[in-house]
Amino acid sequence: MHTMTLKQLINGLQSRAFSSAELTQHYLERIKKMGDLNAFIHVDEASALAAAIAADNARHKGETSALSGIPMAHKDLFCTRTMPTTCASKMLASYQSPYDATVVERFAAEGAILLGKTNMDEFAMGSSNENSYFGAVKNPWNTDYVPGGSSGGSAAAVSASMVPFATGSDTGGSIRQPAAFCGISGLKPTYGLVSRYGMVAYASSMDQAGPMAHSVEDLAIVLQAMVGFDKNDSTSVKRPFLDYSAGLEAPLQRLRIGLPTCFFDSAVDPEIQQAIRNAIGLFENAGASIVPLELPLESLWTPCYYVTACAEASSNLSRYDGIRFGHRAANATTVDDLISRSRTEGFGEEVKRRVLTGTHVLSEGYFDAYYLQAQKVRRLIQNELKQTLQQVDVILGPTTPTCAYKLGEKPTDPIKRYLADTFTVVANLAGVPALSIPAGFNRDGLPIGMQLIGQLFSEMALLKLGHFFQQQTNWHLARPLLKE
Amino acid sequence: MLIQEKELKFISKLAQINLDDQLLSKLAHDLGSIMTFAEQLQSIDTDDVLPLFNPLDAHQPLRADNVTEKNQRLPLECLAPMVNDNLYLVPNVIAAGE
Repeated sequence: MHTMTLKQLINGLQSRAFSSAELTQHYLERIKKMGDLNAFIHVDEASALAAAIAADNARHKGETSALSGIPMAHKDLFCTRTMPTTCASKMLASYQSPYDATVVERFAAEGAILLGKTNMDEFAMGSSNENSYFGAVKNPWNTDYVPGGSSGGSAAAVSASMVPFATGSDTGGSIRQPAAFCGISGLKPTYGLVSRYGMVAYASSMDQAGPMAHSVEDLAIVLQAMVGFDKNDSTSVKRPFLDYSAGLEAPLQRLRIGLPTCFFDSAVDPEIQQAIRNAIGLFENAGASIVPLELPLESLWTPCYYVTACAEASSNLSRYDGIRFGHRAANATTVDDLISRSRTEGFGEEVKRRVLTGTHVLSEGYFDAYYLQAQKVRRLIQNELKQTLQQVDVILGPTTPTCAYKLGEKPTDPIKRYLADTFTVVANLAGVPALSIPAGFNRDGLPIGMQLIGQLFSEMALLKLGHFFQQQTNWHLARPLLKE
Repeated sequence: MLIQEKELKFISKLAQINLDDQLLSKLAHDLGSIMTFAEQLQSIDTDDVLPLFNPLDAHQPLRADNVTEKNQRLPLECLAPMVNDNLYLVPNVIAAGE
């Protein structure tokens, strides 16, 4: 059953080829067998099976929804009333949310069966899933390697077919990069398209929830359940209804595909460059025109992202003070001592690094030169991208400059680590949607991801193009060989 | 940009995060690298450019000034490490003897 696509699973349940209880039990057993990957922080077998039985009973009465009886997982920064929400941090290790995130409510309303909460980099800060209080996640393609982050647990869970789909969040690439490293498909929607209510905040002007699944066809089904205006999220936008699945098969218009030269410089692994050029050839054969592009502000994307993200993180994480919820240090002598010791004990090193950076760039004497300047540069970056996307229909390139690297091997220099996010952060700065899909493997058998970036609210166009590519290739059908 | 350990101590006080000597030294170095990296942002003229705080240039939507939230003291109190008589308990604001 785990080799079937989401669409096939939905059809299988509808035709009673198997029950939701059987399907849920099957995936729960896979999660247990592959516990070494450490993809999950929390699994609730009893609730999942009860929900599956309820879904089967409802189906017998003719009561079904789009995802009735389909198992899934949420990244552990979506608030859930029935399971802890830890953000992979000691600060929230036993936090039980009093409410469900809107995304959680929407999937529950569509009948999906929540199996558990997936591992991640702490408070979504990281690109390797080695920054988790609950330990690193392993890449299913090679367990000596990282799965990417921060949605590494969701990426590994989907890649290893522990769930047919999972949710992730993307602030600087945290859906797309682990999707690329784990050989699956992942979408960062346009900012505002998916509600952030109940999604623990990292950088509020860039955070966005999105789907992770094997194929674009599956992403379309999952995205459909996630999108929509939410009055509880003041940044949520009202958009006309779109049927993402129906739109996939519409014929492609003659496309103009933009190729930034900076996406193919010497920092990009030659095998990745070749895989992307092979993909470009496929699109050219289908009638697309290829337009080389210059993006002169590219060198400013990553510094702009990190100043902005760290500033917003320092503000968002100031709520963790040990007083109203979360980790509280013992034996504090004063309230200041309580707050600072709770935060010192509760946060990991990368979180501390980013909070301190953010505090610094927001402090007197530095605010104008760093934070305000970064927001002005951000407008210039967005303007450049918007103007570019008037000349072309989509920007194409590698999702990451390298494939996954070995656990423990990430550079100690934070700048070298941060530069690996260069290709993904621009979509978050500008708020535009971006899709990562499998585009091959390197000689070590590690997946290569290709990224498509579109204009604001162009998810339909990206999904259509990604689906077309997956109808011409088999990369998305490959599965890691796992010890089961 | 070099970040002195003394400066990082001030930043850590603002952020309410304590740093031991080892982490102080390490993060001072890291923060210095990050700030040097961020200085690239100064290389571009932004004199007539408005900041972009929200990618959709959205502004805070307003609603009618009516009470719509119900009192959720009890479920929220259950999350707190220490409460008594509807109050969150904390140590003294001022240390004994001050």
